[in-house]
Amino acid sequence: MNSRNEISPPKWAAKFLRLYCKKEFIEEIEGDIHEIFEVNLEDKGVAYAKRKFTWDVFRFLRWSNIKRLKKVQSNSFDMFKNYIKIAFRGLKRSKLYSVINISGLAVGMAVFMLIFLYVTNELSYDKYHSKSGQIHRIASHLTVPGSYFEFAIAPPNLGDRMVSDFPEVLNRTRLARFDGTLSYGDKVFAEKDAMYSDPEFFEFFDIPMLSGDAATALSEPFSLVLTEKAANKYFGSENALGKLIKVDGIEQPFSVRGVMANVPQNTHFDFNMLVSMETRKSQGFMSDTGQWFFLDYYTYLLFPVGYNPSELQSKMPDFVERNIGDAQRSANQTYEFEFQKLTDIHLKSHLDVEAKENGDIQSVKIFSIIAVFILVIACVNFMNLSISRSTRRAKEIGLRKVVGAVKRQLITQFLTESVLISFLSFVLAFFLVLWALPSFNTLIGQDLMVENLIQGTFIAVWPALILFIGFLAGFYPAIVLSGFKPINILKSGGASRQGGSLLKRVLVVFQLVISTILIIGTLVINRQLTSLQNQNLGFEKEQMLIFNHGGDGSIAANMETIRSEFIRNPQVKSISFTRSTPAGDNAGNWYTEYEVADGEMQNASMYGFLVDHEFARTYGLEFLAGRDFNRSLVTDMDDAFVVNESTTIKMGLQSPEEAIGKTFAQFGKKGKIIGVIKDFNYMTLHSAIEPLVIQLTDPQYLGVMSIKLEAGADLATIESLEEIWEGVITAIPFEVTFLDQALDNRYAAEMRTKRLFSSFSSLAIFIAALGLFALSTLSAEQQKRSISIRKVLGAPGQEIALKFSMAFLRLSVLALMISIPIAYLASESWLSNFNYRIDFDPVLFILGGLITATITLLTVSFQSFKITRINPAQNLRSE
Amino acid sequence: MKGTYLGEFEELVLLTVGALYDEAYGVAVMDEIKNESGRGVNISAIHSALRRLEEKGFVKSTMGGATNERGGRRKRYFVLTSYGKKALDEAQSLRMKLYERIPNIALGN
Repeated sequence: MNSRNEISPPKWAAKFLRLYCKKEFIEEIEGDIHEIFEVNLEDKGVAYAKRKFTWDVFRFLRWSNIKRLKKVQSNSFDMFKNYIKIAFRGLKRSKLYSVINISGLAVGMAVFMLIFLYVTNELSYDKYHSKSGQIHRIASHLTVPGSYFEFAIAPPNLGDRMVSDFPEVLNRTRLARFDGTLSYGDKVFAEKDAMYSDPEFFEFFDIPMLSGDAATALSEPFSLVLTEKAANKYFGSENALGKLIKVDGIEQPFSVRGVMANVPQNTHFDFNMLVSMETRKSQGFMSDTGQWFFLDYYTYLLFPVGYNPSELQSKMPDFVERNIGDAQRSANQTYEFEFQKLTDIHLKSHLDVEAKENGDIQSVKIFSIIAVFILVIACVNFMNLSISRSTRRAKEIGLRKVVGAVKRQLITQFLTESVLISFLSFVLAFFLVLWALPSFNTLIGQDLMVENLIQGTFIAVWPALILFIGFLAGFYPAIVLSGFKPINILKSGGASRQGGSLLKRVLVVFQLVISTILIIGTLVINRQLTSLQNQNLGFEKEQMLIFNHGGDGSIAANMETIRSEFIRNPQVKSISFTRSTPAGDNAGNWYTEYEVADGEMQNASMYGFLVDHEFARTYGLEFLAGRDFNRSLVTDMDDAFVVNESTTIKMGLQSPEEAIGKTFAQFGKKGKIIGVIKDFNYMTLHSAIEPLVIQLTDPQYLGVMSIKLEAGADLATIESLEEIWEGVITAIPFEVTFLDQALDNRYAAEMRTKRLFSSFSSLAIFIAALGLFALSTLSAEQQKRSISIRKVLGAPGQEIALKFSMAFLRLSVLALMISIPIAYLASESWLSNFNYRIDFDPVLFILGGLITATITLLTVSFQSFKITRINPAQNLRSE
Repeated sequence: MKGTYLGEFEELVLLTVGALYDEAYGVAVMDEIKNESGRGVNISAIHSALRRLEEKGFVKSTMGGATNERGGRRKRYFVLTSYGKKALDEAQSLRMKLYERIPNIALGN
């Protein structure tokens, strides 16, 4: 009994109850929860009773129990309510103005939000790893005679050597591409998205293991870790752990030792399974000695927290000399290694053999600028319309001042109104984003989610944006209007002064400048990309089927059967087996020796294609000198080379004919040049055509099949070919792509930029036109009286309309003059990324200006036409 | 006065107030409901229900005298009004009418 009186309920909870609860209820509520507290104290102990008391206090936190706002604050609160009410009335009264204002601003905000999603996603790459700040990737810069390469991959044992040589390198992990045909039961998949990996992978990257042990899953040969997606693909709902997967050509089956989460989309690599690096080791690759010129391994290093690897950079020349020095001298190649910050890889690294298509800091910048532009255009609309309408509200302001409103209150009122409009626009914008996001995702080829808008710190961005836009748009009218002298306004029966007309014109010009720049930008981008796509590549790309079967003993053995069966189809023109195709960016790059004009040999690194006899014929390559490979000359297989024109230039020869018969060696073969072909584009058009060497090769290395079809070929042709294929080869499915599509895919990034840029520019222009329309409407209304007087005095309608339109047209001409130099500089800097680029074409710029001027005129002409029909009698009646 | 619709929980509280006669205050109603129906209810829900019932005119309340328990706070006692009694009667007779219409045969189980 004693303890009951000494122990009281938690004081803060009791205080909190008194803070929020209405006076009239407080006694009974306190009484009841006290009583419950006392009973609990007896039955269930102190802790429970206290907890329950606090819980009860929170349970009483209901609307009906909460104190209402005290009357002390009521005046400013009521005024606030009044401002909102007046604002809504104003919105309802001038519907055109409200619709244009809110919808324009909403579209602007929606675009801003979409681009915000895109940009934040681009910037988020690889930041989710807890050690992301400590991880760097090794990039290999390789200098060979005559050429220089920057690879994202490194030699096999570089990472291990660095760990043993430098204490500051804490650990390393490697990834390397794995290709193979995998089967489980009757399921067969050609895996192209698999990677060899070290067990340390899971220490570096935060991709969680769902089942299996991350520490040991990859430590033995012939072990696999599947992603969730891959586990579903192979095993469905069965448990993947411990299952055996067969890899074509490898005796020992692979056992699934773990299932990991899918690789998050914002990672600079992607795979659907990891194969233990030990597998590769057990196959005899990556021996500890030598192998310094087998570049295959994405190598990541772990540094201590806060360590700056530029210190290590200065120790690298010594390290390279110590470990690779002799190898470099005998191969006549030189390495330099660079450390790339993990978080910079996605946006800033554009090396050869990246793990996945990387993004581009330039696009991120371009679209951030566009987002701000569009938002600014929408804000300018908002500002302009507020300024134009402000004169109409002069009377209201006068009256408010007479009954005692002070300047500060009026400013508050106008800011409240514009923040309200900005808020309504935001709500609408949010729904627009929901509606547009799926198509936006298709456009940029990503999978952004609307949830990302409101996650983490971004949630604070939106209220800030609403307030910022509201203040920006409401600021000027608020200051000007609140400064009106009531006596002037009320005496003259309305302010005749046009408020802020200079500022208004400046803003319109500003809007038009942005629109014009965007239009010219769109035109330049379109022209450049169309010319890229229509560029004569120097080979036939139409009606060409590409089948990347990967190269396989069973195919090599049956190659001639397949060829003769396929060619029997009248729709098939010719067939060629090669190792690389012009679409692939996959030409080999090899040590090459060539005879220079004076007879001695020099060496360089040149791109090489390994092909069969039909290659040049299938792709329609043009011979400038010499001959093609000939089936009846057996020696062609051992000592013949065909080179492109660029090679002969590199060799210092005056004409293609001189090259014939010159001694040449590449890829373990020595012989003579038998033919020279005209240059064709086998890389993307970002780079110039480099020397290319073509040689015949043993069929088993030729993993790609090119099938040239006749013009009339259709789906049925492909199906009949598939039937033939399946009759001969069962293990590998017949999956073909069209070469022209594959070629277009190489410009996917540019095409994306083009589509995005066009859509956003159209939106920007739309918003600007919307604003112009509203502005001209208001301006026509304000000039009603002066126009009527002109009419009465005999001015013809067309003349008045012309004068009215000219005012706006002048602004758009001024805008054009300002925007052309800016657009010129911007487009030149973009075009400098291309090797094949269009020249500066003034037509595009004039066209851009014409489009803006036309849109301006069309928008305004609606009002100028209306002006010509004004009836002076109606407008001047009251004078 | 708000609508006179009697919700399921409100009816239970109203019945309990009637049953407790002049001993009905928040905690007592809560305990009684717990004892009779085994249904654990938070005290704040009881208060809300009682206040709604009072607004609808089914119960009326008076403050009791000061006590030594409850930290010295007074209790608010609720009693059934005749209007509240009528509402309960109606609910009851409606229920009986429908109940009697259930055919007196073995139900399909």
